[in-house]
Amino acid sequence: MIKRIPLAWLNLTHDRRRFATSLAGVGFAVLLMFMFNGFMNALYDSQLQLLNRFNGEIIIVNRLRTNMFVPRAFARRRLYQARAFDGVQDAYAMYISEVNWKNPETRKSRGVRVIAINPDEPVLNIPEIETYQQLLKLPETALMDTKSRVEVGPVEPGIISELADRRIRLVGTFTMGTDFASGNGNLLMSDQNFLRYFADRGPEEDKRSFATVDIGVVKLEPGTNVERMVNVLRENLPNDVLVMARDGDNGFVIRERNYWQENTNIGFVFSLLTSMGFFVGIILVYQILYTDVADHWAEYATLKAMGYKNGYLLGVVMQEAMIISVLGFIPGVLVSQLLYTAAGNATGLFFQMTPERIVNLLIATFIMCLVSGAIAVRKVQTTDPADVF
Amino acid sequence: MKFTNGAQELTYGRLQDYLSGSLFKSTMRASDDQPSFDLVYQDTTLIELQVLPWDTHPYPDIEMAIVRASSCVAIGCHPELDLLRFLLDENRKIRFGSFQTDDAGTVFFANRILGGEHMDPTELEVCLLSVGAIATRYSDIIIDKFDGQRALNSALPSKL
Amino acid sequence: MVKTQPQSTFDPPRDDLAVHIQHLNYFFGAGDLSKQVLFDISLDLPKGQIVILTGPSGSGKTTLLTLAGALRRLQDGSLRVLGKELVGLGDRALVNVRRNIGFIFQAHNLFESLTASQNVEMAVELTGNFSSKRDQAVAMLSALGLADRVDYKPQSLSGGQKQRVAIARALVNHPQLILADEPTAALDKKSGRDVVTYLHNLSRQEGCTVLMVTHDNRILDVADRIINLVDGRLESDSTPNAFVHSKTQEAIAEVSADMFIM
Repeated sequence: MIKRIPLAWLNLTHDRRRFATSLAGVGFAVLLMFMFNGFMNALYDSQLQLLNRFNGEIIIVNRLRTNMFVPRAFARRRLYQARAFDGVQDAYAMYISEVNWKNPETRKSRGVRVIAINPDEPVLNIPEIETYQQLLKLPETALMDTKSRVEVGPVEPGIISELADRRIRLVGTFTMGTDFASGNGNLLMSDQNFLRYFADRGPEEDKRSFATVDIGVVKLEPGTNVERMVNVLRENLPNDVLVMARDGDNGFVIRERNYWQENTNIGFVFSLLTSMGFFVGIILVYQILYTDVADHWAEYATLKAMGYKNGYLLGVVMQEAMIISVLGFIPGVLVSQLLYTAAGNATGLFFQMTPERIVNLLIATFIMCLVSGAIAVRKVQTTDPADVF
Repeated sequence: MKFTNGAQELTYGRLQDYLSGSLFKSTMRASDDQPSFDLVYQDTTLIELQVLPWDTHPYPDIEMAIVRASSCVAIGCHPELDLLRFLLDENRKIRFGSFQTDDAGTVFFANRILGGEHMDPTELEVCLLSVGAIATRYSDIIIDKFDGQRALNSALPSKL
Repeated sequence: MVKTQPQSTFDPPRDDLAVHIQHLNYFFGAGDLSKQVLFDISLDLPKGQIVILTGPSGSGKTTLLTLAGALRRLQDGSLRVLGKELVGLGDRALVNVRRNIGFIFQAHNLFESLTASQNVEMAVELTGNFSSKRDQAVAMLSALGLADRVDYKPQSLSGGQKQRVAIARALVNHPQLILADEPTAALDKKSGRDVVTYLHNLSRQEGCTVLMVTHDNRILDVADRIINLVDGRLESDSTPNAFVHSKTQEAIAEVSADMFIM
């Protein structure tokens, strides 16, 4: 069946260069939105990297530890108490702190995060721990995160430098990724080493010893109902600790993410920037559509004189909006993907393009083009065919 | 076709309009290169219609043209003096137009009217009818009286 | 709705008129800026007539053309086009009337992105004839001598050819009324002549009415009637072939030479 002449498509593509420029414009707006959105998500996702590696379904922390990195400890006794319950396979201890690492080449000090666990316990889902298990038990040893920022300096095994003004030797590497709270990098060491270095971190941190724990990771028996177990532990452990499932709507991961969203300007700033990208997009697309209408004003008015309704012209403008939004989205996504990788490499942050985020931005792009289409369309509606004469 | 002045062109157009709607419409033929027409009166008599520019005329601000209708009556008539006296005598009695001769002794009957903007359609028609009627009537009379012959009518190329 | 004079004060509709205007007044702008451009225009255009509308610039002739074309809303007077009263009609109804009218503009206003055939097909699509639109377009373009150019875009066509495509577009649906605004202004003498000859033949063959605004003296002879508009008023209304029509139609009796001899 022969169908209508695709006026919208033909008008857009007639001038190849202009069409390419239009798509580039839309792609740019899409890119802006992806990048700002990406940064925002990367910052949040980065904060959760460590958390997502915990080998356990339930987390126990000092109730005052409002985000994961607040230096508040609780009694190890709580872990022993937790172990006693049915369904609990084990409860592991973890220590965490921010310390100064001296770059062996530049001799400049940088803050890094130190994470400490018992190398014999499967606390974290980091395979390198098993690899370097024996080495980690040696004194003054640690593993360095290869995704640490460049300022940290060389990270090969064998490097000797200073940590909190004490000698430290790198015996291996692992990969995790930085976040903006720590910024520069992560070190992994045994709990014994940790306590040697950091038993007393000064007045701002709780004193540490084997009697204290910074974060407790509770592993459940396979098949155990997590929610029920959380309630059991909550009822039976004193109020000085907070018990939460790691995952789920009320879980630790969400709590952590919400904390960073609410307590920093990240969300506001990047949402604002993303919105700006959105408005840039609206303006760009409007400009493109308006130019098409203005350049072909006489032709469109002639259509109206011939007897075409306003509705048809509206349709043409909206079709053009849709075409450039979809076709401009594709290069935008592809370039964003490349930039995500580059940015990830440069900052060590975790840039992730999930299908959900792609769909969200595609919808935003649609709306962007619909809005500009609606504004451009008003110009078309005011086209008076009588003025063509 | 080239016209010398605008009045000639206008007159030509008006003649064409008149002729195509008149009793002459089926016999009229236009020349390809000259502003003139041929038409046949009552199936017998050929009338030649020409549009002539009038360059020197009393009205400096406008252009003028003249319409001449003529028909060939007879050739080879004699005695010459008697013929001429006869023709001049008859001229007095004829309302519109006059007899004319040329070097070869051909006898015409012709009438002229003013063309251009001021040409009157009824006057044009009377002009044509009088040329046709007189030429038809007098052709027989003159040929008899003065021993002449019918003129071989100049034929225009047959296409319009 | 706008106020109109009560329809009872106007003559009833007539079948033989393509355009029937009675006491039409038209104003540009509103309120203090209101300017009257047409004064008490009354005009009857019979079907099949070719009419030229002429006059100095600013005389309102283009405005009158646009009103006849249902391109503007009307308030004052009566204007019937193809049997439909336009005064008081809203925009939607006006759009429907336009579909029966063919417009020829001074500029061709073709879409650069469409071929000649596609430009013409845009007009056919209005009627819903999607299956025959290509054939109709090609037939129309061929009738105007553009059979070998149907798939060319405007940038590959000459000025005269583009105008002929625009005319094909205007005529492809065989409208009963054709409105043209300076159709030959952008054309050379031959192309202009061809165009008006085509319109003339079309009018004679199909009985459609042509109303043309023009200053082009070369084509005045094609019209049955020339209407002169000056400062929004009808100045004169005559036929260019007035010479013939001014002759009183007396009967011719049997002509005898005795009539011319005293």
